[in-house]
Amino acid sequence: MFFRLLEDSVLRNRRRKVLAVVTIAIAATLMSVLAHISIDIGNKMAKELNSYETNIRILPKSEGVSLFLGGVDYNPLKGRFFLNEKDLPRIKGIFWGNNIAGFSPFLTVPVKITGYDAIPVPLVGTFFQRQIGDVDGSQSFETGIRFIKPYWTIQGAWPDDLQQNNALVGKALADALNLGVGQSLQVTPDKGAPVVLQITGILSGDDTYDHAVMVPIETVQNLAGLPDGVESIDVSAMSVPESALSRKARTHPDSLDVQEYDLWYCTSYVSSIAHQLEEAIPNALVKPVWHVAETQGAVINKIQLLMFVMTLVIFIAAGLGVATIIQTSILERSGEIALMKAIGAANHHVALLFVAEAILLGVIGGVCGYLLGMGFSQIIGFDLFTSTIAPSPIVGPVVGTYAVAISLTGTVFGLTRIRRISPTAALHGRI
Amino acid sequence: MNHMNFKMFLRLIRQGIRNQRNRIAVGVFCVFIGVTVVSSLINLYYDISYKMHEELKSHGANFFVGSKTYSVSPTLDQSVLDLLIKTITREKIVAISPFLYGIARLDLGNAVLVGVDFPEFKKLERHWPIVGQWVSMSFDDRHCVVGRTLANTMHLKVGDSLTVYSQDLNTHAPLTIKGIIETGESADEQVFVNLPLAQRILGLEGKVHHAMLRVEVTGTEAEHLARFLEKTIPFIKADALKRVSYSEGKILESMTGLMTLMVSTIVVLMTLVLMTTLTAMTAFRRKEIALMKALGAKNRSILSYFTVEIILIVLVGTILGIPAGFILAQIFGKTIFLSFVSFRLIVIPFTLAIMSGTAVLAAIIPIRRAYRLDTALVLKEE
Amino acid sequence: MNELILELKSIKRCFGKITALDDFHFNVKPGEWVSIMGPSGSGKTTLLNILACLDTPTSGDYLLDGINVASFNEDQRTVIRREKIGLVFQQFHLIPYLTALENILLAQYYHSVIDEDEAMAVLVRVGLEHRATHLPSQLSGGEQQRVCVARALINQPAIILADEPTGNLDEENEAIVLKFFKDLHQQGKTIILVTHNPEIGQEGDRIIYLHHGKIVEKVYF
Repeated sequence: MFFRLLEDSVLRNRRRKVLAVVTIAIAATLMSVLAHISIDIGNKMAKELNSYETNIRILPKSEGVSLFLGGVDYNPLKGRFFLNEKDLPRIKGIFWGNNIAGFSPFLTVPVKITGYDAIPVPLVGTFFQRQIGDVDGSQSFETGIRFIKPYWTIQGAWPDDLQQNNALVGKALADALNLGVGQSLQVTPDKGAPVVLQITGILSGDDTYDHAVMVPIETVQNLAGLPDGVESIDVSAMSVPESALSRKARTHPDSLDVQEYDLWYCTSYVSSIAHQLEEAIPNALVKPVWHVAETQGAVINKIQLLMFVMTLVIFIAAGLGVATIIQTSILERSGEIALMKAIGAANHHVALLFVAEAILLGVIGGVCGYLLGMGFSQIIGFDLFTSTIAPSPIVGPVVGTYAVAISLTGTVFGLTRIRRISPTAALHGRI
Repeated sequence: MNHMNFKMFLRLIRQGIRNQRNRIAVGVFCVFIGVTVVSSLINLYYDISYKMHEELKSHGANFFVGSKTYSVSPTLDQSVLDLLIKTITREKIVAISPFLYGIARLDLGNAVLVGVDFPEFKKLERHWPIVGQWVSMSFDDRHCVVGRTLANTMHLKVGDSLTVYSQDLNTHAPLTIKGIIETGESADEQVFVNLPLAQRILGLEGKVHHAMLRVEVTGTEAEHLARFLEKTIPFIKADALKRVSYSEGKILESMTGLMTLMVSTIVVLMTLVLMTTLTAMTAFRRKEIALMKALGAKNRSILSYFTVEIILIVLVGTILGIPAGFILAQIFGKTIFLSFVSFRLIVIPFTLAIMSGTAVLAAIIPIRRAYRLDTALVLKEE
Repeated sequence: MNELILELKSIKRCFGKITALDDFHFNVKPGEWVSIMGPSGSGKTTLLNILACLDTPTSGDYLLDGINVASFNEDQRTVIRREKIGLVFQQFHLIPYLTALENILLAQYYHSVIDEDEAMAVLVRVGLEHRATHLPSQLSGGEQQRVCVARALINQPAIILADEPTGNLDEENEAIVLKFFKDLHQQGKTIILVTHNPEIGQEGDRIIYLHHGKIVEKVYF
């Protein structure tokens, strides 16, 4: 009987119900859009921001201290430690391997340019764009300096990694020595025979390499007599901003209990990624580049905070709007309520009916809103990031609960009014 | 409409408001909430780029100025800094620090010594984790800050003494380590002191190698400024750091994009919620509309009455809502950006436009529907 | 010169497949009181709605005071309602936020010009001058209905249509309202009244009984 009443109640006066459902649906849409975006946005933003700069540096564990002046290390190479190029694939093999957006190894020797012998110039060996096999050789991964320096502009063309004599020259150097694309350049290392290089492009946009010559790493390895030798690796990893936990891990690593350690390890903090890289690569010392990591982190934090605060406010505001409609509809149905009471319904009978109706409307509105919100979020996601936003499983239940909650809240506030309606009014045709 | 009837119209409205205070209050409340949210977001939106610029200022140097000469470690005269400040104007410079590099001798080996202007240098590298403290004064020649790798290699900690010697050992300075920084960059292996001391130790009095600046410029302005500086000060090479402007550009772009979409989504949906609420409230008065029709009221007359009432409700709600919205915007600003949001005048016309549209639609839609309904049926309804 | 104030000729009203009124003929002379009775579903309400120009017939003619209003559109019917018809409903419909006086002024307002003196006068006629400034919620059922009757009169309509005017009233108020209709009748007003109460029906000059949309019986007094 109850369900018959409920069915009647809901199906009658569909107009009114539609209005209520529509409002709930709109509020729910809003919520689900915001929820989707705020959950995914942090990840997307991190991905976007992190790919612009190197935020982790891998160095060999060494006893000495390097003496870099003008891009040239004045410490003799002998006696220093190196990393092994063969260990590079391990980078992608760590727990957070999927967060590694790109990396590039470096090996630098000072050379003299023929004709300008007085000034040592750094000859920087690196990967420009190569496929790196995975640890077990299954998947390959394309990376190199092109992937971690998106702000570089090349006049001419990128060097071909397979052509050991291809070179990139920094703009300041090119200007000073009047070098142009297509020209050849002879360089002589401290010890060894000169090498002739072919300038394929001129690099501008990076003060670090403005006075350098860049070649495929093999060229430098051969010149220095260090096969597979790597001096440092720049890594760009997608990370989340630092938190109290990560700071604790950094400063007092021994004070972390097992749970905290696990949580830290399994969160993509830049420091835990660095830690994992250190574990994976033999003889390595891995350091986060804090300037980059912290500034990016600050921005991401702001964005997440913005989303959170806005979501909260909308939550309340939309909820109020819906509660109002429900209140008003109760007001309008006072005649109906009086009638129900007149034929014998007790307060709680009527209340129950309205509450059940509220839940039903909430669910319908919530489902519609969730679906609409999904649609909206995808459009937004596509617009912002040209990719789809992953629907998080948590959004559905949250939005559903929200829709039902605001529907119920509006109804609950009307329950006192329901109690106050007297059946006598119905009997006398009065409202 | 003649004079008496106009008075009646006003009377209708006055009585409607006076004797149905609940309904009116609810209407005003809803509009108030809607306007508060919408106007606060619009305010925030127009302030956001300013806020983001403020935020980005703390992201370090965006300009590099060095010597145009191509030689081994070319130097510039120290006065170039004053020249830069004068050319760019003090207001536009957030921070400017000179840099002088050289190899100095320490007790346990050689290290790169870097001379800077500490207060300015700190502004440029705000985000470097530091154990201990930065050197606070630019004339302090008793203290230094060293990099983590150097400290570890030479077993140094905060508070230790460190003596730096010139290469020929003729000049030396006893220092105390005030702080140890961790950067992930070459600074980890360097010793930082104030410029005058470095100049003494390295025998480069009055000289600097380059300067790093944070200048308040946006996007292409930075390039233009660099060219302008090179033209005005011919012996320098100026570079707007592309890696900085690139990432900041991306940040601003995505932030703006995000804000635009979020704000427009929220504004649209909140307006819809508001409209449905107001529409519902009017729709619930169908009996009244039917009665008026039964009494022979012209459609126009009914419409104008309801419209005026809704406009009044919306007006009051808006007048109350805009200042409340401003306060809400402040809450946003303070929570997220730790600073106040300034009032953007554009909020007023924007909000009014949205609200007027909402008001009119909220009046028209239910009434149009009510016209088409069977008056008699409505009057017979329970 | 038309002697009839109201004439329905071959009126038919269909709602989809249901024919509420079929080939209906009905005349009323000025000053007559006609009671319409019949079981529910007989078409009483449909008839009244057509007479009140709240509804249009599917086919047929309706001459009211010489004007054929059968094919009038909504706007035209609104004018007719204003000018020629006074309505009294079973559920007393008053604007809840207007006083008794203002509810009457409203009818004037839509008609032509408001005149507080006139409105007051008609309130006096129904014996409610001391309730002029009260809201409907402050009036008893009977008082509310009397205000409705007063409102129906204010524009001096050609006919007064009442749908179970005393249906929601208690005995005492029913008597008061009934007396009022009788007074109106004596003053020469044309009254068409739907009721299910034979005692009230008999107050009229004649009763017509409806059954399935047709007149099955006419009783004259």
